[in-house]
Amino acid sequence: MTRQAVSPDEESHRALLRRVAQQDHEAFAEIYRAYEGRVFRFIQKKLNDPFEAADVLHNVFLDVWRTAANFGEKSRVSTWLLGIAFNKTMDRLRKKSPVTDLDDGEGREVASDDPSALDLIEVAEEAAEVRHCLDKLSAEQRTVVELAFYQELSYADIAQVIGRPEGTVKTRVFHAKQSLKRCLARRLRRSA
Amino acid sequence: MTRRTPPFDREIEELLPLYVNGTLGDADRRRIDALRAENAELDAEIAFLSALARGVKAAEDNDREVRSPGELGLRRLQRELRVQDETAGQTRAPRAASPTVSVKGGPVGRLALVASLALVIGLGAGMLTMNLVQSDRFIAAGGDRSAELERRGARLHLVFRSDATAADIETLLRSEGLEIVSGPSALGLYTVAADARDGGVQALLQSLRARGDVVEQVTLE
Repeated sequence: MTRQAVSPDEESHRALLRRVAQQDHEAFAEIYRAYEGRVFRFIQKKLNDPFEAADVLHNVFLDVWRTAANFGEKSRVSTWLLGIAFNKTMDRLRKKSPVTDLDDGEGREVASDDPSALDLIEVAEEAAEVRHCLDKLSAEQRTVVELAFYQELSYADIAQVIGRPEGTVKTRVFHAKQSLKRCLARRLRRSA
Repeated sequence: MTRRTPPFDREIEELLPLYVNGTLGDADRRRIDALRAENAELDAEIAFLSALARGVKAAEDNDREVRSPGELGLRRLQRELRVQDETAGQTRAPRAASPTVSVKGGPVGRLALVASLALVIGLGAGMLTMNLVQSDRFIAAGGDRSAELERRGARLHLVFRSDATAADIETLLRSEGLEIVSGPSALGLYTVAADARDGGVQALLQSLRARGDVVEQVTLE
Protein backbone atom coordinates (compact mmCIF):
# COMPACT_ATOMS: atom_id res chain seq x y z
CA MET A 1 0.00 0.00 0.00
CA THR A 2 2.72 2.44 0.93
CA ARG A 3 5.77 3.65 -0.84
CA GLN A 4 9.02 2.29 0.53
CA ALA A 5 11.48 4.18 -1.66
CA VAL A 6 14.38 5.60 0.31
CA SER A 7 15.17 9.24 -0.47
CA PRO A 8 18.75 10.54 -0.53
CA ASP A 9 18.05 12.47 2.68
CA GLU A 10 16.71 9.36 4.33
CA GLU A 11 19.72 7.36 3.24
CA SER A 12 22.10 10.00 4.58
CA HIS A 13 20.24 10.05 7.89
CA ARG A 14 20.43 6.27 8.10
CA ALA A 15 24.14 6.53 7.51
CA LEU A 16 24.35 9.06 10.32
CA LEU A 17 22.55 6.67 12.66
CA ARG A 18 25.01 3.93 11.75
CA ARG A 19 27.79 6.31 12.79
CA VAL A 20 25.94 7.21 15.98
CA ALA A 21 25.82 3.50 16.75
CA GLN A 22 29.63 3.66 16.62
CA GLN A 23 29.49 6.52 19.18
CA ASP A 24 30.32 9.21 16.62
CA HIS A 25 29.57 12.53 18.34
CA GLU A 26 29.55 14.56 15.10
CA ALA A 27 26.96 12.28 13.54
CA PHE A 28 24.91 12.54 16.70
CA ALA A 29 24.94 16.33 16.45
CA GLU A 30 23.86 16.14 12.81
CA ILE A 31 20.96 13.82 13.58
CA TYR A 32 19.95 16.05 16.47
CA ARG A 33 19.96 19.17 14.29
CA ALA A 34 18.00 17.40 11.57
CA TYR A 35 15.18 16.20 13.80
CA GLU A 36 15.23 18.15 17.07
CA GLY A 37 12.67 20.76 16.09
CA ARG A 38 10.24 18.26 14.61
CA VAL A 39 10.49 15.87 17.55
CA PHE A 40 10.25 18.69 20.09
CA ARG A 41 7.07 20.02 18.48
CA PHE A 42 5.58 16.53 18.48
CA ILE A 43 6.28 16.19 22.22
CA GLN A 44 5.31 19.76 23.11
CA LYS A 45 1.98 19.34 21.39
CA LYS A 46 1.11 16.52 23.74
CA LEU A 47 2.59 17.87 26.96
CA ASN A 48 1.81 21.54 26.36
CA ASP A 49 4.73 22.39 28.62
CA PRO A 50 8.03 23.49 27.07
CA PHE A 51 10.05 22.57 30.18
CA GLU A 52 8.78 19.04 30.21
CA ALA A 53 8.96 18.77 26.45
CA ALA A 54 12.62 19.80 26.58
CA ASP A 55 13.25 17.15 29.24
CA VAL A 56 11.56 14.47 27.19
CA LEU A 57 13.42 15.56 24.05
CA HIS A 58 16.67 15.27 25.99
CA ASN A 59 15.79 11.72 27.02
CA VAL A 60 14.75 10.82 23.48
CA PHE A 61 18.14 11.76 22.11
CA LEU A 62 19.95 10.04 24.96
CA ASP A 63 18.05 6.94 23.85
CA VAL A 64 19.12 7.60 20.28
CA TRP A 65 22.73 7.65 21.41
CA ARG A 66 22.35 4.44 23.39
CA THR A 67 20.19 2.46 20.99
CA ALA A 68 21.12 3.65 17.50
CA ALA A 69 22.42 0.16 16.80
CA ASN A 70 18.87 -1.11 17.22
CA PHE A 71 17.58 0.95 14.31
CA GLY A 72 16.64 -1.80 11.92
CA GLU A 73 16.36 0.36 8.78
CA LYS A 74 12.96 -1.18 8.11
CA SER A 75 11.35 2.13 8.93
CA ARG A 76 12.20 5.73 8.28
CA VAL A 77 14.51 7.48 10.71
CA SER A 78 11.74 9.96 11.53
CA THR A 79 9.35 7.11 12.32
CA TRP A 80 11.86 5.52 14.65
CA LEU A 81 12.53 8.82 16.41
CA LEU A 82 8.86 9.74 16.72
CA GLY A 83 8.19 6.28 18.14
CA ILE A 84 10.75 6.83 20.89
CA ALA A 85 9.30 10.30 21.50
CA PHE A 86 5.76 8.98 21.61
CA ASN A 87 6.60 6.31 24.19
CA LYS A 88 8.51 8.71 26.42
CA THR A 89 5.78 11.31 26.15
CA MET A 90 3.10 8.80 27.06
CA ASP A 91 5.20 7.64 30.01
CA ARG A 92 5.42 11.25 31.17
CA LEU A 93 1.70 11.77 30.76
CA ARG A 94 0.93 8.58 32.67
CA LYS A 95 3.12 9.73 35.54
CA LYS A 96 1.30 13.05 35.64
CA SER A 97 -2.14 11.55 35.34
CA PRO A 98 -2.61 7.78 35.58
CA VAL A 99 -5.99 8.00 33.89
CA THR A 100 -4.37 9.27 30.71
CA ASP A 101 -4.23 6.20 28.60
CA LEU A 102 -5.04 5.02 25.18
CA ASP A 103 -8.54 4.32 24.11
CA ASP A 104 -10.05 4.58 20.72
CA GLY A 105 -12.23 7.49 21.60
CA GLU A 106 -14.55 6.59 18.78
CA GLY A 107 -17.63 6.98 20.93
CA ARG A 108 -16.89 10.67 21.31
CA GLU A 109 -18.20 11.56 17.92
CA VAL A 110 -21.18 13.80 17.99
CA ALA A 111 -24.06 12.37 16.01
CA SER A 112 -24.87 14.61 13.13
CA ASP A 113 -25.60 14.46 9.47
CA ASP A 114 -22.66 13.94 7.23
CA PRO A 115 -21.78 17.21 5.60
CA SER A 116 -20.82 17.61 2.00
CA ALA A 117 -17.08 17.50 1.58
CA LEU A 118 -17.31 20.19 -1.04
CA ASP A 119 -19.03 22.56 1.36
CA LEU A 120 -16.29 22.14 3.92
CA ILE A 121 -13.24 22.84 1.82
CA GLU A 122 -13.04 26.51 2.70
CA VAL A 123 -13.56 26.10 6.43
CA ALA A 124 -11.12 23.18 6.52
CA GLU A 125 -8.31 25.51 5.52
CA GLU A 126 -8.94 27.96 8.32
CA ALA A 127 -6.42 27.33 11.07
CA ALA A 128 -8.62 28.64 13.88
CA GLU A 129 -11.55 26.46 12.91
CA VAL A 130 -9.38 23.40 12.47
CA ARG A 131 -7.64 24.02 15.79
CA HIS A 132 -11.00 24.26 17.53
CA CYS A 133 -12.07 20.95 16.02
CA LEU A 134 -8.73 19.26 16.69
CA ASP A 135 -9.17 20.19 20.34
CA LYS A 136 -12.47 18.30 20.35
CA LEU A 137 -10.84 15.05 19.27
CA SER A 138 -9.69 12.45 21.72
CA ALA A 139 -5.95 12.46 22.37
CA GLU A 140 -5.63 9.24 20.39
CA GLN A 141 -7.46 10.60 17.38
CA ARG A 142 -5.55 13.87 17.49
CA THR A 143 -2.27 11.99 17.56
CA VAL A 144 -3.06 9.99 14.42
CA VAL A 145 -4.37 13.09 12.64
CA GLU A 146 -1.17 14.93 13.44
CA LEU A 147 0.94 11.99 12.32
CA ALA A 148 -1.02 11.57 9.09
CA PHE A 149 -1.57 15.16 8.06
CA TYR A 150 1.26 17.06 9.74
CA GLN A 151 4.06 14.54 9.93
CA GLU A 152 2.80 12.92 6.70
CA LEU A 153 3.39 9.35 7.79
CA SER A 154 1.87 6.22 6.28
CA TYR A 155 -0.44 4.01 8.33
CA ALA A 156 2.38 1.52 8.78
CA ASP A 157 4.67 4.23 10.10
CA ILE A 158 1.99 5.64 12.39
CA ALA A 159 1.37 2.12 13.69
CA GLN A 160 5.04 1.81 14.49
CA VAL A 161 5.15 5.18 16.22
CA ILE A 162 2.19 4.55 18.50
CA GLY A 163 2.74 0.81 18.86
CA ARG A 164 -0.69 -0.20 17.64
CA PRO A 165 -1.81 -2.40 14.73
CA GLU A 166 -2.14 -0.76 11.34
CA GLY A 167 -5.86 -1.60 11.31
CA THR A 168 -6.34 0.36 14.52
CA VAL A 169 -4.59 3.32 12.96
CA LYS A 170 -6.82 3.20 9.88
CA THR A 171 -9.90 3.09 12.06
CA ARG A 172 -8.71 5.97 14.22
CA VAL A 173 -7.89 8.15 11.22
CA PHE A 174 -11.24 7.30 9.64
CA HIS A 175 -13.23 8.23 12.73
CA ALA A 176 -11.10 11.28 13.42
CA LYS A 177 -11.76 12.51 9.91
CA GLN A 178 -15.49 11.98 10.35
CA SER A 179 -15.43 13.84 13.65
CA LEU A 180 -13.51 16.73 12.11
CA LYS A 181 -15.98 16.90 9.26
CA ARG A 182 -18.92 17.09 11.60
CA CYS A 183 -17.26 19.64 13.81
CA LEU A 184 -16.33 21.80 10.83
CA ALA A 185 -19.87 21.52 9.50
CA ARG A 186 -21.21 22.82 12.80
CA ARG A 187 -18.72 25.68 12.71
CA LEU A 188 -19.75 26.46 9.15
CA ARG A 189 -23.44 26.51 10.07
CA ARG A 190 -22.72 28.72 13.07
CA SER A 191 -20.87 31.27 11.00
CA ALA A 192 -23.46 31.27 8.20
CA MET B 1 -32.24 13.82 7.88
CA THR B 2 -30.74 10.81 6.27
CA ARG B 3 -27.13 9.78 6.22
CA ARG B 4 -25.57 10.02 2.80
CA THR B 5 -23.58 7.07 1.62
CA PRO B 6 -20.62 8.12 -0.46
CA PRO B 7 -20.36 6.30 -3.76
CA PHE B 8 -17.00 4.82 -2.89
CA ASP B 9 -16.34 2.15 -0.36
CA ARG B 10 -14.61 2.33 2.99
CA GLU B 11 -11.46 0.70 1.69
CA ILE B 12 -11.01 3.52 -0.80
CA GLU B 13 -11.93 6.13 1.80
CA GLU B 14 -9.26 4.80 4.14
CA LEU B 15 -6.64 5.19 1.43
CA LEU B 16 -7.41 8.85 0.87
CA PRO B 17 -5.40 10.32 3.76
CA LEU B 18 -2.35 8.55 2.36
CA TYR B 19 -3.21 9.72 -1.15
CA VAL B 20 -3.23 13.27 0.19
CA ASN B 21 -0.09 13.01 2.31
CA GLY B 22 1.91 11.38 -0.46
CA THR B 23 2.64 8.05 1.18
CA LEU B 24 0.31 5.91 -0.89
CA GLY B 25 1.91 3.27 -3.09
CA ASP B 26 1.93 3.76 -6.84
CA ALA B 27 -0.63 1.04 -7.63
CA ASP B 28 -3.19 2.39 -5.18
CA ARG B 29 -2.50 5.93 -6.32
CA ARG B 30 -3.21 5.02 -9.94
CA ARG B 31 -6.35 3.22 -8.81
CA ILE B 32 -7.64 6.30 -7.03
CA ASP B 33 -6.62 8.59 -9.89
CA ALA B 34 -8.76 6.47 -12.21
CA LEU B 35 -11.75 6.47 -9.85
CA ARG B 36 -11.39 10.17 -9.16
CA ALA B 37 -11.70 11.03 -12.83
CA GLU B 38 -15.19 9.60 -12.98
CA ASN B 39 -16.45 10.23 -9.46
CA ALA B 40 -17.22 13.78 -8.38
CA GLU B 41 -17.87 12.79 -4.76
CA LEU B 42 -14.48 11.14 -4.51
CA ASP B 43 -12.87 14.17 -6.09
CA ALA B 44 -14.61 16.43 -3.56
CA GLU B 45 -13.53 14.21 -0.70
CA ILE B 46 -9.91 14.44 -1.84
CA ALA B 47 -10.21 18.21 -2.16
CA PHE B 48 -11.63 18.35 1.37
CA LEU B 49 -8.85 16.19 2.78
CA SER B 50 -6.20 18.27 1.02
CA ALA B 51 -7.75 21.41 2.52
CA LEU B 52 -7.91 19.72 5.90
CA ALA B 53 -4.24 18.78 5.69
CA ARG B 54 -3.39 22.41 4.97
CA GLY B 55 -5.65 23.49 7.83
CA VAL B 56 -4.02 21.04 10.24
CA LYS B 57 -0.57 22.26 9.25
CA ALA B 58 -1.62 25.89 9.67
CA ALA B 59 -3.21 25.15 13.05
CA GLU B 60 -0.19 23.23 14.26
CA ASP B 61 2.27 25.81 12.95
CA ASN B 62 0.38 28.59 14.71
CA ASP B 63 1.00 26.74 17.94
CA ARG B 64 4.74 26.56 17.30
CA GLU B 65 5.70 29.78 19.01
CA VAL B 66 7.44 27.88 21.78
CA ARG B 67 11.00 27.50 20.65
CA SER B 68 12.71 24.18 20.77
CA PRO B 69 15.89 23.84 22.87
CA GLY B 70 17.99 23.98 19.70
CA GLU B 71 21.73 24.27 20.14
CA LEU B 72 21.40 24.60 23.89
CA GLY B 73 19.68 21.24 24.01
CA LEU B 74 22.50 19.76 21.96
CA ARG B 75 25.11 21.19 24.30
CA ARG B 76 23.21 19.77 27.26
CA LEU B 77 23.22 16.36 25.62
CA GLN B 78 26.88 16.60 24.70
CA ARG B 79 27.73 17.53 28.27
CA GLU B 80 25.87 14.54 29.60
CA LEU B 81 27.44 12.19 27.07
CA ARG B 82 30.91 13.45 27.94
CA VAL B 83 30.17 12.94 31.60
CA GLN B 84 29.00 9.43 30.84
CA ASP B 85 32.16 8.79 28.85
CA GLU B 86 34.27 10.09 31.73
CA THR B 87 32.32 8.02 34.19
CA ALA B 88 32.62 4.93 32.03
CA GLY B 89 36.35 5.56 31.81
CA GLN B 90 36.59 5.85 35.58
CA THR B 91 34.53 2.71 36.04
CA ARG B 92 36.73 0.78 33.66
CA ALA B 93 39.93 2.03 35.26
CA PRO B 94 41.37 -0.29 37.87
CA ARG B 95 41.36 0.96 41.43
CA ALA B 96 39.16 3.94 40.64
CA ALA B 97 39.70 6.80 43.03
CA SER B 98 36.12 6.89 44.22
CA PRO B 99 33.23 4.50 43.91
CA THR B 100 30.21 5.58 41.87
CA VAL B 101 26.64 5.23 42.96
CA SER B 102 23.95 5.28 40.30
CA VAL B 103 21.17 7.76 40.85
CA LYS B 104 18.51 8.25 38.14
CA GLY B 105 20.75 6.83 35.46
CA GLY B 106 23.88 8.73 36.41
CA PRO B 107 26.54 8.66 39.05
CA VAL B 108 26.50 11.03 41.97
CA GLY B 109 30.05 11.98 41.10
CA ARG B 110 28.93 13.43 37.80
CA LEU B 111 27.75 16.63 39.43
CA ALA B 112 31.26 17.95 39.85
CA LEU B 113 32.11 17.01 36.29
CA VAL B 114 28.97 18.66 34.98
CA ALA B 115 29.78 21.81 36.87
CA SER B 116 33.26 22.05 35.42
CA LEU B 117 32.11 21.20 31.90
CA ALA B 118 29.24 23.63 32.18
CA LEU B 119 31.67 26.41 32.93
CA VAL B 120 33.76 25.61 29.87
CA ILE B 121 30.72 25.32 27.63
CA GLY B 122 29.16 28.45 29.04
CA LEU B 123 32.30 30.33 28.11
CA GLY B 124 32.26 28.83 24.66
CA ALA B 125 28.67 29.82 24.15
CA GLY B 126 29.59 33.42 24.80
CA MET B 127 27.10 35.02 27.13
CA LEU B 128 27.04 38.18 25.10
CA THR B 129 26.15 40.81 27.63
CA MET B 130 27.84 39.32 30.61
CA ASN B 131 31.28 39.30 32.08
CA LEU B 132 32.55 36.34 33.97
CA VAL B 133 33.63 37.26 37.46
CA GLN B 134 34.93 34.55 39.72
CA SER B 135 34.02 30.94 39.04
CA ASP B 136 30.38 30.63 38.03
CA ARG B 137 29.13 34.06 38.99
CA PHE B 138 27.97 36.23 36.11
CA ILE B 139 27.33 39.93 36.38
CA ALA B 140 25.45 42.00 33.83
CA ALA B 141 27.68 44.05 31.57
CA GLY B 142 26.23 47.22 33.03
CA GLY B 143 27.50 46.30 36.48
CA ASP B 144 25.88 44.83 39.56
CA ARG B 145 22.82 47.00 40.22
CA SER B 146 21.23 44.57 42.62
CA ALA B 147 21.86 46.67 45.72
CA GLU B 148 19.74 49.46 44.27
CA LEU B 149 16.66 47.39 43.56
CA GLU B 150 13.72 45.97 45.41
CA ARG B 151 12.77 42.53 44.27
CA ARG B 152 9.24 43.54 43.27
CA GLY B 153 9.08 43.32 39.48
CA ALA B 154 12.83 42.76 39.16
CA ARG B 155 13.79 40.67 36.16
CA LEU B 156 16.56 38.14 36.09
CA HIS B 157 18.14 35.96 33.47
CA LEU B 158 18.53 32.33 34.45
CA VAL B 159 20.20 29.35 32.88
CA PHE B 160 19.29 26.08 34.47
CA ARG B 161 21.66 23.17 34.87
CA SER B 162 21.53 20.58 32.15
CA ASP B 163 20.61 17.88 34.63
CA ALA B 164 17.87 19.89 36.36
CA THR B 165 14.47 18.32 35.84
CA ALA B 166 11.29 20.19 35.06
CA ALA B 167 10.12 19.40 38.60
CA ASP B 168 13.35 20.82 40.10
CA ILE B 169 12.91 24.02 38.13
CA GLU B 170 9.24 24.38 38.92
CA THR B 171 9.85 23.85 42.64
CA LEU B 172 12.64 26.41 42.69
CA LEU B 173 10.61 29.02 40.83
CA ARG B 174 7.69 28.55 43.19
CA SER B 175 9.81 28.68 46.32
CA GLU B 176 11.57 31.85 45.18
CA GLY B 177 8.41 33.52 43.92
CA LEU B 178 9.57 33.74 40.32
CA GLU B 179 7.60 33.62 37.13
CA ILE B 180 9.01 32.90 33.71
CA VAL B 181 8.45 35.83 31.40
CA SER B 182 10.18 34.48 28.33
CA GLY B 183 12.60 31.87 27.14
CA PRO B 184 14.44 29.80 26.59
CA SER B 185 16.55 31.83 24.18
CA ALA B 186 18.88 30.14 21.76
CA LEU B 187 21.45 30.15 24.55
CA GLY B 188 19.01 28.74 27.05
CA LEU B 189 18.36 31.96 28.92
CA TYR B 190 15.07 32.34 30.72
CA THR B 191 13.84 35.74 31.81
CA VAL B 192 12.00 35.59 35.10
CA ALA B 193 10.17 38.23 37.12
CA ALA B 194 10.19 38.31 40.90
CA ASP B 195 6.96 38.68 42.84
CA ALA B 196 6.24 41.26 45.51
CA ARG B 197 7.71 39.49 48.53
CA ASP B 198 9.81 41.38 51.01
CA GLY B 199 13.50 41.63 50.39
CA GLY B 200 15.85 42.99 47.82
CA VAL B 201 17.26 41.62 44.65
CA GLN B 202 20.60 40.98 46.30
CA ALA B 203 19.06 38.45 48.65
CA LEU B 204 17.24 36.82 45.78
CA LEU B 205 20.41 36.57 43.71
CA GLN B 206 22.26 35.04 46.65
CA SER B 207 19.49 32.56 47.19
CA LEU B 208 19.51 31.51 43.56
CA ARG B 209 23.29 31.31 43.44
CA ALA B 210 23.13 29.00 46.42
CA ARG B 211 20.98 26.64 44.35
CA GLY B 212 23.81 25.34 42.22
CA ASP B 213 21.98 22.04 41.98
CA VAL B 214 19.42 23.66 39.68
CA VAL B 215 20.77 27.03 38.56
CA GLU B 216 23.79 27.25 36.33
CA GLN B 217 23.86 31.02 35.88
CA VAL B 218 21.87 33.94 37.19
CA THR B 219 22.14 37.60 36.26
CA LEU B 220 20.13 40.72 36.76
CA GLU B 221 18.44 41.94 33.60
